[in-house]
Amino acid sequence: MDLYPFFDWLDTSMLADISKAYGGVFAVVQMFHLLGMSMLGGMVLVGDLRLLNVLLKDVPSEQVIENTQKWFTVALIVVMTSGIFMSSAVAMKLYYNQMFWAKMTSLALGVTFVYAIRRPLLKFNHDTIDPWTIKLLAVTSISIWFTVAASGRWIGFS
Amino acid sequence: MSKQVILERVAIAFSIAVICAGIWFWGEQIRYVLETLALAEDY
Repeated sequence: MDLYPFFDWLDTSMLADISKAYGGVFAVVQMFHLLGMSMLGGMVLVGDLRLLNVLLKDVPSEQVIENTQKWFTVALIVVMTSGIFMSSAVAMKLYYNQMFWAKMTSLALGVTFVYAIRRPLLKFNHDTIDPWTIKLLAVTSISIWFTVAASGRWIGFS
Repeated sequence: MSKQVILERVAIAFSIAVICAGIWFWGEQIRYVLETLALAEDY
């Protein structure tokens, strides 16, 4: 599936007009993007490090996962909304950037992983799940979101 | 087979695939950086 028409449309859309013309608006949206990313990263780390028994050992892991999952969803919405706006400013440049596609692929994998596997599985009592599966889940989650963040940062240098 | 067992198996298969893909991807990036550094040293 070629997404060129979408990027071509985005490059000439009203969003692109605003993001290219008003540096201040772009800066504010970028601030929300960074805030959302730090929140998302924080929720991933707190949840997964609890699953790995590294922190918050005195709090039931079910409770930690339930609380972090809510804020993870909020952060994901903020990151994706602001990300679409920011990408409109350089849509065609991003289309030809390999690291951008690495980030989008890992983001798609991350979202699929969280909502189709991690979340439904962790709704069960954690004591009934094999401890090594839980640890593997946590390591995979940290790896995916690290790749999303690192490849996102790499876009600027590739 | 219960839903939990299916999810556990899917989680294990997905995790192994993702970790292998991650090792390959970052391995390629590190190899590229090292090659670039070696080229820079030649000049």
